[in-house]
Amino acid sequence: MSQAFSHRVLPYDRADDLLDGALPFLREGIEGGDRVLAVTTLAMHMLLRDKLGADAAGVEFFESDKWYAHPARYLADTLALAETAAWQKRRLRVLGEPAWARRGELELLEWQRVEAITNAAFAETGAALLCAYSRSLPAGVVAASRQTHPETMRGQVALSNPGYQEPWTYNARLDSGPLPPPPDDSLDLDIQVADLYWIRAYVTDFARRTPLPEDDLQRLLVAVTEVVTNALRHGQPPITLRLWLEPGELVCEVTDHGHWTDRTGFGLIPPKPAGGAGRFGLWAVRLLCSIVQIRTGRDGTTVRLRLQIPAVPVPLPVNSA
Amino acid sequence: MQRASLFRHRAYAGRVRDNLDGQAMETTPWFYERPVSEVRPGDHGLLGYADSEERDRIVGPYVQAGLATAEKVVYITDEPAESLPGLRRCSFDLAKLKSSRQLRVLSRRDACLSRSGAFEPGKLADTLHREKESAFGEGFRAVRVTMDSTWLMSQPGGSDAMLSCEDRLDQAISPSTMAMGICQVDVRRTGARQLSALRESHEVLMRVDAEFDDGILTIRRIYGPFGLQLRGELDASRHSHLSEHLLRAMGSRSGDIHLNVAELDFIDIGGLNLLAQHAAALPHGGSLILDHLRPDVENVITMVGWNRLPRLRPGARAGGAAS
Repeated sequence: MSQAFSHRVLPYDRADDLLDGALPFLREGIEGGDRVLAVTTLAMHMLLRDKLGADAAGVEFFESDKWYAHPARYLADTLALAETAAWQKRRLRVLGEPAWARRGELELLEWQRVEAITNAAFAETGAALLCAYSRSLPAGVVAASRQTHPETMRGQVALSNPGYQEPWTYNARLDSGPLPPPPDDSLDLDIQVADLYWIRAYVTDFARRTPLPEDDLQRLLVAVTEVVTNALRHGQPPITLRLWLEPGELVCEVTDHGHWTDRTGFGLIPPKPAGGAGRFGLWAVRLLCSIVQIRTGRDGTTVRLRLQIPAVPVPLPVNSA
Repeated sequence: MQRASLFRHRAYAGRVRDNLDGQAMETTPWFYERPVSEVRPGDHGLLGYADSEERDRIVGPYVQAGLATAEKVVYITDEPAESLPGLRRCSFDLAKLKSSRQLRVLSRRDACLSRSGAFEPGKLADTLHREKESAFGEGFRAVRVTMDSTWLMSQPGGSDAMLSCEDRLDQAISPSTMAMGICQVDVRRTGARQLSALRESHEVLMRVDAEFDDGILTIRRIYGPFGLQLRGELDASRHSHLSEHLLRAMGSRSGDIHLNVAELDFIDIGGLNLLAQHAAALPHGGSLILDHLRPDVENVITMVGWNRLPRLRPGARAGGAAS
């Protein structure tokens, strides 16, 4: 197994264009004994099965909505498949159609980040990833795909993307602007004690006044504990915890006056499971939250955790208790 | 750290009540669990021990605490005093304690057997009544009684006789302001039905004292299955304590180690790492087994990935019988 990793974008107007690019890709994998996945819409599943005929038995079909539900979890699961296949001397081959519809602005950025990081994370697995992008998507989404995929499929030919950016450069650019300031009414807590029990009690009190489910609260507490533990160990005081609500989201921010210099400390790439119980703190934080935003520089470091709050019929007043 | 201790229990209790109501109701419907150092007059406790270490860690402190504080200790056994838990290699002058009647080691024949050697509940009740009544005049403020009933449970009809006797003991001890008793029974030699009947006739279940308790995290040795019970919250402030006690437990037994985490409300990523590290050090491919994981805690581990925590695995489900 020494096939080269490939990560290509397949822009398409109509379903036929997608089929033209996808079918040879899938057939090549079936013939080559790859583990072949088609992660698309149900409608596209039917078209692909129809065209592949008996060959469809060599393809595993998954729905985009579920596969691309959460950036960090997607990366962890898919990377695990790619590594397992490589270990079995096979290649993972995925036709993917990331679900871009109904995503908020921040979520879009996180998925574009995933597309970029994919180039670093999968490089050694030899996986073949073909990402279908409909031209009906917002222009910015398709344009960004040419920066996050080394190559574009045009018909049967793979062409280099001149605008392709090195993953960490692209990633840094996503985070080049400052985060919007917290709202004036955020709940702020200066962290001076080393015992994080108190921080969790504080976060729990806040979260209990929102409809955040119990499982999500536990995830938030683990994530906050990890981030504050890091700040206490590696950051510089003063350390501040802030909590507030945005539409559909609970936001928890930890700031300190330290400055991270190590890029790998961002926890974007899943650590190897075989690497023992190493440092997977920030990576775990990304798995536990909906979105994690990090800014670090001379002015200090901010880690902002976002958890989706399920919609409820009657909004609960946050400042009532 | 110390200045905070006043508030800890209050805040802690609040969270526990919110989170664990249903579970607590399910696993401990009618009895109290009491660490041995908190035993108090009126307690009629059952000690179902799974091995001799568990028995010694409960009966030992129970006996010693009595002898150290002007309480009378009545131990019904055919073993010699110097081989009993709490009295082995101790600093007490046993002969002196016996002559002052503070330590009463009574043979079964003297305490509760008929001339033909059969168990006589009435005689046991009379013996205890006599010892209790005389204690005050002898200058003792309380009486601690204990007996190992395992021999009785394995005799034909013995278990019924024991149970009928337990009711009378309960009537003698529970309303008392100076008597307390621990009935010992080896659960390995007692049937499940007998054990549950015994539980019903005791309102207090005896537990070993916690090895660590700072109001936020409690670590206690458990037996059957062997391991540790973790209660409260585990984060970086307490990793070293967990390590210490886990290593000690691992050093004293081979094979799997169970962690009863039914009441572990929180574990951080570092804590999971720590458990995985210790699990990897278990000899012969043994595992660290997390019993009775709370669903929200299990959800976190599932999301992080059990595959990243090799040899750490879930065991008995939440809400099952307490170990």
